[in-house]
Amino acid sequence: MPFRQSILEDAKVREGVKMPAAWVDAVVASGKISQLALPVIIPVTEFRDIYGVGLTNMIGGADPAKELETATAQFEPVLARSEG
Amino acid sequence: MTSSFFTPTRRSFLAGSAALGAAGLIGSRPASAAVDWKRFAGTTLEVNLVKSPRGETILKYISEFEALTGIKVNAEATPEQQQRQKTTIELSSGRPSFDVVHLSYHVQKRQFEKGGWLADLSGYFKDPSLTDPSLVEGDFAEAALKFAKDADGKLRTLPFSVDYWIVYWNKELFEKKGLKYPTTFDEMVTAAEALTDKSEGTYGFVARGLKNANTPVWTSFMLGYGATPIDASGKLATTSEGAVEAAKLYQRLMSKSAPVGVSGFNWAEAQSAFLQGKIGMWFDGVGFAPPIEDPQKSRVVGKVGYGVMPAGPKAQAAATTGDGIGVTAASKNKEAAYLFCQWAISHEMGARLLQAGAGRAVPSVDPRGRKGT
Repeated sequence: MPFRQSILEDAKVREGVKMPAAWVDAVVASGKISQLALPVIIPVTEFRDIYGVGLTNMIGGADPAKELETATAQFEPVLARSEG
Repeated sequence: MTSSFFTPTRRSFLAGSAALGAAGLIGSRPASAAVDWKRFAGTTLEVNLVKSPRGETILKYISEFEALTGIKVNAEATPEQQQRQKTTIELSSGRPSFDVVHLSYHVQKRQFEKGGWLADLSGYFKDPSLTDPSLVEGDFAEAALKFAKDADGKLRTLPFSVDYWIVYWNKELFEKKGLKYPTTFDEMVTAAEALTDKSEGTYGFVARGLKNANTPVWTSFMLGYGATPIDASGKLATTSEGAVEAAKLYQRLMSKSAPVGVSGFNWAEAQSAFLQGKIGMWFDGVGFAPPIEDPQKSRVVGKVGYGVMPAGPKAQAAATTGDGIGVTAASKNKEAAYLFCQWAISHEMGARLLQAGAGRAVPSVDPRGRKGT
């Protein structure tokens, strides 16, 4: 999906898109409220790993606040090392 | 005859485009009279790409760039994980073998910036002899510019490909329950629970439950609570009120309204469940859409709505991931390399990316669960 809004809004370009117009409309509208989905840090994989375990535990009924506290305690030193 | 994004005097380029049948399909843009695309003719560029539909779109049309500029391009595309390892090793050595590099913003941006591996493109971007007048910051989403610029506001890459997180919703299931598409998180929860009928195997919501893959679901919800994992001062903020509320929302949707076994679902399993027609809403990247409208793969062809993320209590935000393309700081051919980057994100190339449905990479299979997706 191109980042440039002028491409997404170009009627000629849209004629050649096989997906429904609503799909492209959702892309255009999303671009107007876009924010970064993940933190801009070096240990992104570790971030996803550590918090991901907590989130999976939550599906099984674990307390969200406690899981986040645990994950944060694990991840803080990882982040500190990456920026050191 | 309409003109191309590129100078119309380049007959060979237009001939190439016409051969692709592109003139009518990919749209057209005003010509750039100022950029001298032949300025670096005779230069050879080394280009390092991720092997993905996006990278392959570039590879497919590189001959057009060569005809346009007279620049010879040696391009290499390798699978995502290998490409990340290779670029990290070479860039950290200070002597990379490539001038142009393709990177995943949400995985590599900080690493590249901390290493000082990318050239500052700010001056080139402002230079009318190097940049087409249609290429302006206002043409990019806010997240794109955040991705492309470093902490000092210097442009380090050009935004190439984006993936916004949206809500795919089954209009037929919503109609049966007399529901409308939710505009808020509260309405999303209400709809998800109203749509769930476990005795019929119908569920209101699905998203990634598998560890690692599931983290962007939570951080996406955080945005609606006005929260981010790292606060403005750079400190970890993952126990903030917004972070906890987002986690509670994740828990409620995934434990009350999602199918059995969702804690083992990555995007592929969630997509597969949605395609069966028994799921009300599926939350994930917009680039996963094409199979939905493929009758060979989907039972919900023509029945799906594509919804912008509902608003949270403090904000409405579409979580964004993406790729950029930049010039290495060590390159001896920075201006020529910048022209390549500009061509890669041009109107024509972007149109091809959109029309090919090539917005989303096919992730490499990681034994630990398709990491980095």
